[in-house]
Amino acid sequence: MRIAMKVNGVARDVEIDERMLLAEVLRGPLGLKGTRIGCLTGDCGACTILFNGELRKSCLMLAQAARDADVQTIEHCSTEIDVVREAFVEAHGFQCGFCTSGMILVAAELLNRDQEVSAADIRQAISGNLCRCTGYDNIVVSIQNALARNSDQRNKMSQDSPAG
Amino acid sequence: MPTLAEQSAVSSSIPRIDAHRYVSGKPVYTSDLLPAGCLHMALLRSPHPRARIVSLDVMKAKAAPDIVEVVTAVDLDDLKPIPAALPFRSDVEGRGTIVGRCLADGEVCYIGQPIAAVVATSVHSAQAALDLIEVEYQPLQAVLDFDEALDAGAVAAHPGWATNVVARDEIHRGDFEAALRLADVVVAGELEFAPSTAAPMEPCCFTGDWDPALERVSLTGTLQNPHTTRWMIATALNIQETAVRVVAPPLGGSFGLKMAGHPEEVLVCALARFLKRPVNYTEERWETLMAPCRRQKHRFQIAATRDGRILGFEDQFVADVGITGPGNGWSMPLVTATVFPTVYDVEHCRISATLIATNSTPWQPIRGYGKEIGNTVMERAIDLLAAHLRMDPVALRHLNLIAAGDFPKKLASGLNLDSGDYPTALEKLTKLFGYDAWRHRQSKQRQSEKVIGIGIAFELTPEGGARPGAFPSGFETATVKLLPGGSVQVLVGVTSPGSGNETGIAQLVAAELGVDARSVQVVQGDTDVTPVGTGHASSRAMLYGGTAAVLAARDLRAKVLLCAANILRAPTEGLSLEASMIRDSEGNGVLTLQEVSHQAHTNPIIVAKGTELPLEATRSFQPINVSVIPDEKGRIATYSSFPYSVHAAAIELDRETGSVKVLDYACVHDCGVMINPMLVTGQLKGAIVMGIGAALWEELAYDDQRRPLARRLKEYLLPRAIDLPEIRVGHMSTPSPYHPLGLKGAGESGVGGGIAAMLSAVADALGERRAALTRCPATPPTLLDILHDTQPF
Repeated sequence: MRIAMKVNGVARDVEIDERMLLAEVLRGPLGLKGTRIGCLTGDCGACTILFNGELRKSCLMLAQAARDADVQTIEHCSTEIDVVREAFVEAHGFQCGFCTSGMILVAAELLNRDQEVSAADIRQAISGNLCRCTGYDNIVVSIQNALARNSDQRNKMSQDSPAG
Repeated sequence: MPTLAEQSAVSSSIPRIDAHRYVSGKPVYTSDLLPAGCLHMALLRSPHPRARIVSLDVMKAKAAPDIVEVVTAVDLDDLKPIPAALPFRSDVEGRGTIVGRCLADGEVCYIGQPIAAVVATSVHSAQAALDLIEVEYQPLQAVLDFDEALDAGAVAAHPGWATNVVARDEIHRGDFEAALRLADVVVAGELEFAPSTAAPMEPCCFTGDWDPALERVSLTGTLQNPHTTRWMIATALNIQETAVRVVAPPLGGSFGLKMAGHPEEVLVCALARFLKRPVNYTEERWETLMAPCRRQKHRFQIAATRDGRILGFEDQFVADVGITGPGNGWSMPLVTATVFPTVYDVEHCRISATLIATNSTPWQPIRGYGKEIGNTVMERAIDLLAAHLRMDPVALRHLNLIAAGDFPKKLASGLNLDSGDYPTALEKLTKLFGYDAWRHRQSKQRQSEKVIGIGIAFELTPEGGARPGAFPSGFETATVKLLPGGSVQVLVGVTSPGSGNETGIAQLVAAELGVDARSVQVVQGDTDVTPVGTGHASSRAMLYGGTAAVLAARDLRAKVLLCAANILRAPTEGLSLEASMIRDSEGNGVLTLQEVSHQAHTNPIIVAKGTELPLEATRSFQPINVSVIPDEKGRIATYSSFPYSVHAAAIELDRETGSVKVLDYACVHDCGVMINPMLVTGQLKGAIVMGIGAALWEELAYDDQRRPLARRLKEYLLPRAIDLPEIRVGHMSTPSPYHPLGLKGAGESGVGGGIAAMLSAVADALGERRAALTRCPATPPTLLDILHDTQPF
């Protein structure tokens, strides 16, 4: 069967086997290999994507459920994702990188919410994503730094924008 | 003349040189590299711990849609056995050799043993066809537990063996019986470890391919030890190593699991050669979880004076290593035995280890490599002694630590401790943790339903394993090249599990050549390109591989300076390399590195006069603090380096539910000189959390037939972010006097301390019932059994 969806801002139309999971279609026909498969049972979070703006584990969805959806993967370019990426580089928020795609998308979604967030909130937010390498501390710090930088940037933008 | 360590003072927490690739989803793992037209393999695995295969019919499976081939042992009879990575010579009577085969031939001896391989054009079709294979089994009596394995009438778990003893070790120092006579108190205890597993986020994945023009096989896979794997494949396929190329792309974590010796490494190569097409095998999570280890049962005694001076320590343990395969996971309990009495000055020691075969899945290696178990047992004994003497556990440890001035100091096994300052580490830890404040808080909450427990634990982590006979072992090699265009490339035999050792190696080389570390390319994991080496294991990447790179970079620097001198028609004295420039004695830049390299390679007669081209150097490093000639007790010492750490934890035990919440954790760590403290800290924190998981939640559970019950990450509970507090870390540095850069090795330390500190804290929370904690992990059911036990303690 063929399905159409928007992936990272671009309209895509792909031929799929109807049994395929969204994670498999992203990695296979769509060639977006930054989405990782670690368990296929929704436990590890390595396949996390943004689906119509909400976090989803793409191994828990059939690809056909993404018909006409707006999907964002780690390959997506946005200001929030760039801020998070830089913060993960500086605070060493990754080791092997296998969970990193999912962690960065969770963090970007937190930035999008633009709310006050504590370290405990960050731990809660990433609790659906397993990391076996870091012990999580550097991921939490990376996200804290990204949130701080993001709110600085927003403040700066609102100050810079002409009144009225 | 400054020492090598002083010359290499490059300690700097720069970000990973490959960081931007990693945060953009662009590291290319094995599963991202499937060639066009790649076939997929699924494995039919034994449902019986032991059975004779009466009949095996694959005809229906072969006829199913998308199926290319179905293969059983009969089809692979031209394969030789896979050689063992550690060909351990045992004097145990009746013990056979360790033989690795890809598919079971006539008999299965553990649940999960591959019997048939289905190869299809889609992974789903391959898996679906497994159900069409018809097998008739005749179940045979199996050895299911180590308690029955040594009974007089027990059958042998291994076909062709006459015993279930895989190996034994006895370690004696002094006279433990005399210690018992001299002691005022003797405290005994038991500790049993349930199986746990490495569980990296990336499952194992192997792709075999066949090059018809060159008549070569290639394996691209999740591999810690590519050169070892190449040797195993060449041996099993009965071809030259030149006809095999092994490529190890970046790993999505490994923690020991991906060391050489999985039969699937060889199987995909055999099938690719047979079918003349690429074949991939990607584990499902339940298969990744079929990699048990750590199942050990210890009985220990500790003898001391009434004022707390430890006189003697004894530990007798058995380890259930399952069926031994070509990988070396089964050998980890042999290392457990060698770490006693860890950081403590104990004169009389008696250690006895028995490794037992049962009909269960072969062990795979895990971070800690048995050392984490020895450390946990030692700390448990100290805690029980402290409770018996009603002494503070920190004070008792202080009283018995090896003094800072007593190095080098031998362990009972003969391992030679290089350096350290354990008392200072303990003092720093109690301050960092706020030990007194935590004890105060604990005393105020003693009557509550939720009680606080405080744990303390040392971990001694022997590193740089160089066991003779293992392939390969006690050396690492690096080639450093200045390419004609001026860029720097390093080829090393060590690999990375994702720890960032390529960045550390780049930093070391960059410091020697006066270039930016970010401009240095480090090439790892390709047997056609990189020097023969062990890959990664035993924290050797920086310890041995990084050191080889420094030595090679120094040779290269001398060549470059000579070429520069030839260009300048000046002596080399006074010339130096800094910021990619050749500098004169006043520090003025006189030539770029790029100019020198280009001129040397294009105008060699003049510019390279007196040296050899190309501008590259290869050096190897071997450790000195090992001894491979048996001493008077017949022992060898094959770890060169001894990082250590001391840990403190506070937990809250809910007496109603048996659940444990980790409130606080602090660690002081010493791995000698650190190249990149940020990366070392990252490794340490990850290792500690792995230890916390193994102590509290992680368990590979089985039913009474050894069928795995943990098949998903819902049943094998890894630590999640909400389960953990911030891990607070402090570092010390006592450089190793035996290592040219003062390194001791980082990356493995922390697992043992994490397990031991957690058990210590849980036992502390149990108060008067602490001795009843005899099992790891300390899960809620285990703790409820202890809390609800009405027997007098």
